[in-house]
Amino acid sequence: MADAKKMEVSGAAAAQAAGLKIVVIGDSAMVAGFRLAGVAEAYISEGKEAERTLVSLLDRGNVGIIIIPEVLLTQLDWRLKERLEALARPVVLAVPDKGGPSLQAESLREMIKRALGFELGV
Amino acid sequence: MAIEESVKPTRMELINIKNRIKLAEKGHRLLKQKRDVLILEFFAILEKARDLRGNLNTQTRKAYNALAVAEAYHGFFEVESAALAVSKVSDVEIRVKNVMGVKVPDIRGRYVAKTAFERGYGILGTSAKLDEAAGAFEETLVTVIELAKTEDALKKLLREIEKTKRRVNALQYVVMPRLRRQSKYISMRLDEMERETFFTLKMIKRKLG
Repeated sequence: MADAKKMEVSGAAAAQAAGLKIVVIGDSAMVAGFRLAGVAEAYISEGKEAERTLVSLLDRGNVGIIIIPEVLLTQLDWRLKERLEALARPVVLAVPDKGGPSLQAESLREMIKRALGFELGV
Repeated sequence: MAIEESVKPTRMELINIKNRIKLAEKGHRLLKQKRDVLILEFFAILEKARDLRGNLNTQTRKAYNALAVAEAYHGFFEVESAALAVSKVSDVEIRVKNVMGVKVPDIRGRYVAKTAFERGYGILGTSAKLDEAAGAFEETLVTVIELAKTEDALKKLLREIEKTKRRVNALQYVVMPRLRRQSKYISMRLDEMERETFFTLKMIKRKLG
């Protein structure tokens, strides 16, 4: 029992070190593009379905970075957003989709305002 | 007030409270220093994150345009199949770095831009349009990895700053004033008791004399 637990811990530490995947969730253009760049795992999905895919990825151990469209990030439930912000790994990053950059900077600006107590020209 | 009445007006209690005030002041000073260091760190990487975000925005715009051109030229399915044939190289390594007690990810992507030959799809069947799109997305991916690290560190730092600031304020505006009120209350009570005793003694003395 104790041994099994120890194994699990060392396993987690090993996963920490290397071999973490980059995963893309997005529309067809995003997926095709990042596949061209060599990303091994990519899912074409949008809306609620994309959210479910995201959650299932969070629970998997071998994911390092999840790339999602900015639009998806703005649609997420605030509880899930909180969870994403608190997690050390995987790192979830929103990138602009083919529609161009959206309001992603807003959330960072909001966080800065809350933490520092004043607006900052970001 | 209820808070003042909850402490016993004894000399021992006064000494305790004075010690606690000293401790609170020390903690307050330390936390303030921590907050300042975190804010400095934050501003140091804010600049970097902002630059990277800007880069990413222009790079993605370029990349999507290149992709659209490639798709127009080759057709959607051909681009798709080429994309599936691309050699996969992009595993990353994440270590956790510690900045003033904040666990910040340190991502290392052993990512190198590939030449057209290394990409893995057939050179003959495709055109430079597709190479351009692939190249643009490779560049984007490099920025994405860098930005993932920076922006995440930024968010973690912000959370910690917020937490530290709340603690500093709680000490400064709630804990310390309360302790000061209690200490004042006790010393006033003690003085009052001394005066009472003094007065009683005088009375007794007069009656005896």
